[in-house]
Amino acid sequence: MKDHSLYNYKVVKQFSIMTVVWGIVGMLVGVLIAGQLVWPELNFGVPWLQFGRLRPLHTNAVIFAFGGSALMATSLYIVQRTCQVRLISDRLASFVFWGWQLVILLAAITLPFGITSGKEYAELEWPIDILITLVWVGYAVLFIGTIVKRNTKHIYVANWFFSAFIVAVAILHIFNSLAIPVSLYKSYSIYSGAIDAMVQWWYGHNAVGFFLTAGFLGMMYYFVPKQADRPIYSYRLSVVHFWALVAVYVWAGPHHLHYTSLPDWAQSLGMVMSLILLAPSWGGMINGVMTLSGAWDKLRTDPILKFLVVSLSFYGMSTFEGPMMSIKSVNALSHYTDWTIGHVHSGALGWVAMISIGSLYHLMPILYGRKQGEMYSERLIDLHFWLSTIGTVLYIASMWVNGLMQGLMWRAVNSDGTLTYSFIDSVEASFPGYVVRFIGGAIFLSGMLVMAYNVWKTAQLSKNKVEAKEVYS
Amino acid sequence: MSIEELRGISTIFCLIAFIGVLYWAYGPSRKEYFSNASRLPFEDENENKNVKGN
Repeated sequence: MKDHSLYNYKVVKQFSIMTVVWGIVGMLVGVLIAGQLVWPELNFGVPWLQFGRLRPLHTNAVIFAFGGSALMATSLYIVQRTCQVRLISDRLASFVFWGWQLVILLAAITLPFGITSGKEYAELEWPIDILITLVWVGYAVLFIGTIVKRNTKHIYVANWFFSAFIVAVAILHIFNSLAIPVSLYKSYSIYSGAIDAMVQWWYGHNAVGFFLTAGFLGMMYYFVPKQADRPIYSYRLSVVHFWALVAVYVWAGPHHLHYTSLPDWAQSLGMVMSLILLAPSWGGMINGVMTLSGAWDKLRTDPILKFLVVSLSFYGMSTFEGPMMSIKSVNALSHYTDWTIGHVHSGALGWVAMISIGSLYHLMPILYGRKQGEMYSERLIDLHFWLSTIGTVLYIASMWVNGLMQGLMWRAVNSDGTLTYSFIDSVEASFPGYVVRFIGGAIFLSGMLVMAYNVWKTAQLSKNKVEAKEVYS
Repeated sequence: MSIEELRGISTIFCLIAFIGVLYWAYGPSRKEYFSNASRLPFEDENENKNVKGN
């Protein structure tokens, strides 16, 4: 199939635009709550602007609204291009798009009102959980049904990663959200005690492993070869990468519960599995980066490739840092400190956001009838690249400093065994780091605004072109 | 079966599964097969680029 009009690009375009919109919204909330940690008055004394309510709004917006829209846009694009077939149903595609937007809207309303089930990254209450399940099953049928209908012999590796992401997230969401409702706005988990904690972090870490990793690796396996104009470095390594990654990730959750009432053997298992994860993670990273071997010069001129390759570097960094932090003795220092926040953002900003942004810059012009990567302004892409990189580095460096300092201050004892510092001493010492983090986050957000402008201008260019054609034909 | 035996068997099972995946991926008879798959992103372009597979 060579004719792109046979593909459903409408749903891809809808999700792509909403990726930019939700990216700006989610990161704006993030910058606001980063600001609140510097200037507490920024909650204006309004209950629904309190840190505790906005923080889950931030995480849900960037993970599920921004990241989710990016994943749906790219997966539904890639599956059509690599299976050479149109999505099985346009109506189902519309249902998935509007259903997902409704979920996001409901999250944006309920979380500031304090309606929450209190489970991290799964805060939404039971009626929304049911809606998520319906939309997700629709997405699974749409994606996997399209693979079944394919006109190619092979199922390209990106589609394997997307399929694993879709199936695993469905299982995780359903089992972690099992709850007994007591009213429309409140439910209680069917799990209790240490089991509840284990189920929560089985879900929580696999949200990282399958939502924020496997899905975005699917993006990587398509857009890096496409933008570099050469196939993936080693397809056979990608097969090993896939099976090793999905087999090991599911066991890593207990590292979130070191030194808690979770049984010791489960903690050790989580730690060992997390250490093993370094191998498939780096296998995938090397596979992506080495795709450029023999064409490194493209990195000098192509800002989209810079986004993709630097995102892989951040992926390599954070998947090295993660296993290190899962070692129990390291975790004793890092847990509950800002180091964890820094680690998450080196993955979220450096890897997830930057690979999505790079992929969108490749994809957006195609959706507007232009050549791949042909945005309105290449210089603005380059500007965005530097804003993202500098923002991410400021963010994670300040959180490393804060995290190490907090961990060391909390464990410092005097010769008579009393604590050297009170907790508030460590809060006061964290102030400069919070200022730098706020600046880094604001810089990253400003890059998203540059992107929105560039996308808008690109859309206008294609609109003018169509109008001009109508006049002169 | 004691818990120790179960642990040993599951470790060996994981090793065999991993070697199986390695064999499947790197078996010489499937070189062409995977090389074809690696070209998929370039196959539906308007201009035929003839990108070599990996």
